[in-house]
Amino acid sequence: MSEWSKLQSSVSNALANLEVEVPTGIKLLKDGVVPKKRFSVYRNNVTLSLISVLASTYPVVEEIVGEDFFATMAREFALTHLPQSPVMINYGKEFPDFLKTFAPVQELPYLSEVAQIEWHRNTAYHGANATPVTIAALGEFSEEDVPNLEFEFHPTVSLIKSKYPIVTIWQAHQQENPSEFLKGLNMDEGEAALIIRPELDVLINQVSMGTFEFLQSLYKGRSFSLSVEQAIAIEPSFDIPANLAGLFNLGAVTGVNLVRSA
Amino acid sequence: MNKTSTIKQTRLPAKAGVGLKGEHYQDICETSPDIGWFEVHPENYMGAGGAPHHYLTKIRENYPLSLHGVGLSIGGSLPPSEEHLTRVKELVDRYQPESFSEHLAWSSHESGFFNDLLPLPLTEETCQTVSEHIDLIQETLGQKLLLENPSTYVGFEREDFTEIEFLREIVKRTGCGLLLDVNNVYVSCTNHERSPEGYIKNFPMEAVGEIHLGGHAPDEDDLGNPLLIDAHDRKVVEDVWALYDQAISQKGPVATLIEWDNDVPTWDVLFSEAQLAEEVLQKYESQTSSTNASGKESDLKEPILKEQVA
Repeated sequence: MSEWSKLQSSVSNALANLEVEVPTGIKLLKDGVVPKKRFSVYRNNVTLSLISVLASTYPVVEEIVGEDFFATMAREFALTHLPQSPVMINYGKEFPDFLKTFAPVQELPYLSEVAQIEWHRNTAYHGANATPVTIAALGEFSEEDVPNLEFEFHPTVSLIKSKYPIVTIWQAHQQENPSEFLKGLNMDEGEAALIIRPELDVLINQVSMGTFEFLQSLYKGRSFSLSVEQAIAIEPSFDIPANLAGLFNLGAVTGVNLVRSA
Repeated sequence: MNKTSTIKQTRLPAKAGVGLKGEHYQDICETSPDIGWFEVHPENYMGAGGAPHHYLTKIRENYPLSLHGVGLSIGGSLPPSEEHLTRVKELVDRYQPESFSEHLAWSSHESGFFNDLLPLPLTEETCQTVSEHIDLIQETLGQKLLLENPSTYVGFEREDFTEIEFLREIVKRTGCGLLLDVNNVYVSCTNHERSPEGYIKNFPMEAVGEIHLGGHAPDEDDLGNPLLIDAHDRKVVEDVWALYDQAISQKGPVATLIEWDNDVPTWDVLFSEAQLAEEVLQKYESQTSSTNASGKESDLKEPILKEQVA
């Protein structure tokens, strides 16, 4: 191993481990003083910049727990999850899972799932562009073919479901006064959402549990008829035309294909 | 080792430009401001689609562009990540920037990416590895690289070169150009008790293709001595403007960037900061023309090649 490689490893180690001393090889100040404060500028840059990346991806989590506590939490995450590439728009995917196990936030069980919305929002923002089709695409098929249709989804689509009202919580934190918005919210009522970026802006659309089952089934590549059955099983009043219209209006469908019966 | 013959050598206009920020996309698209060029970190445009590419494409249609990388870790002991270099290459091919620049620093090692520009000792060994890394980057991108002088807060016990000697040697070995960050000169020279004027005086101006200006934060070190931190979060200070004037008086007008990455101001504030740089450029532009008219040799010897628009 080369001299620089060895020194670089010890600097790396000292950057990510706050207990580790300033590495040998770093120039001492006058009278042999170890430049702890100078070295800590780099440590601070590393942690503060990663905290800032996480805060820009997870602004609602930050607002829920407060800026200072978020910084503590994000620092802990950053030091144990260094980025593995310089592409910071992809950094922090594991943060929602980290929140699930981070002891101090266990009394906020919905926090990790609100974070999931924010992660999907981030990936949708940077996701690939695609041209949606309109509901007229269905007109190309005969009525007896409709049950066997499969749908292709826009590449920025993701679906999320929680046993907590995470969509309402997320929406409340887009308002001036979230606590006003959240007054009387039943924390045991689960919610689901379809996240998509049809043009430039990401949309977080709350959907019913029946719609969620319908969409998730279609998304997994199952047929239209099978997906409708799944929806009706949990939501007997599931409105097929309204759901289809909603899905196409969002720009979520980029293709409709007939699959000969299996 | 000098392979510049196969390397595209386009150049930014000798005007003031600014770092392009998402906060200003709409202002710029709506008002088409009279500004020389824009610079972006390629790492912020490595998503597949959406608003960043939408706006950058629009803005690039109307302005010269510089890609200023922060992730190739040129100063590291390991070669730049092949995967990352491929992503940079894709952006260079897509946006055909007039300039590509990176830092004399490292940001990645075995454990990961540190999202900061970290210092390296200037030794025979690192001179060799940095040269190899720049050769690889220039060959891959098919474009000349401008290497930026760093802001540093610590030194190393064992070094073989001064920073200027090191940069000269790298230019000689690789044919790369230099990006002179005047704020970094001020920050590093203050931190290491050197003369910033002396640094600028000795800087190999013939290799400079771009200048950076930015704000820094004052602090103190372990002994209570001044420690400046390169923060890019405020206006350029008077002392740095004076050094910039000195640099342009030596070099002649050259593309100059206002770097403001944190606590990003309104478009108007950023634009007026760029205007201050533009005034200095114009002052020396008229002097250069009168010098040329009087038959004295100009500092601008390299021919300006027009960009190949794909």
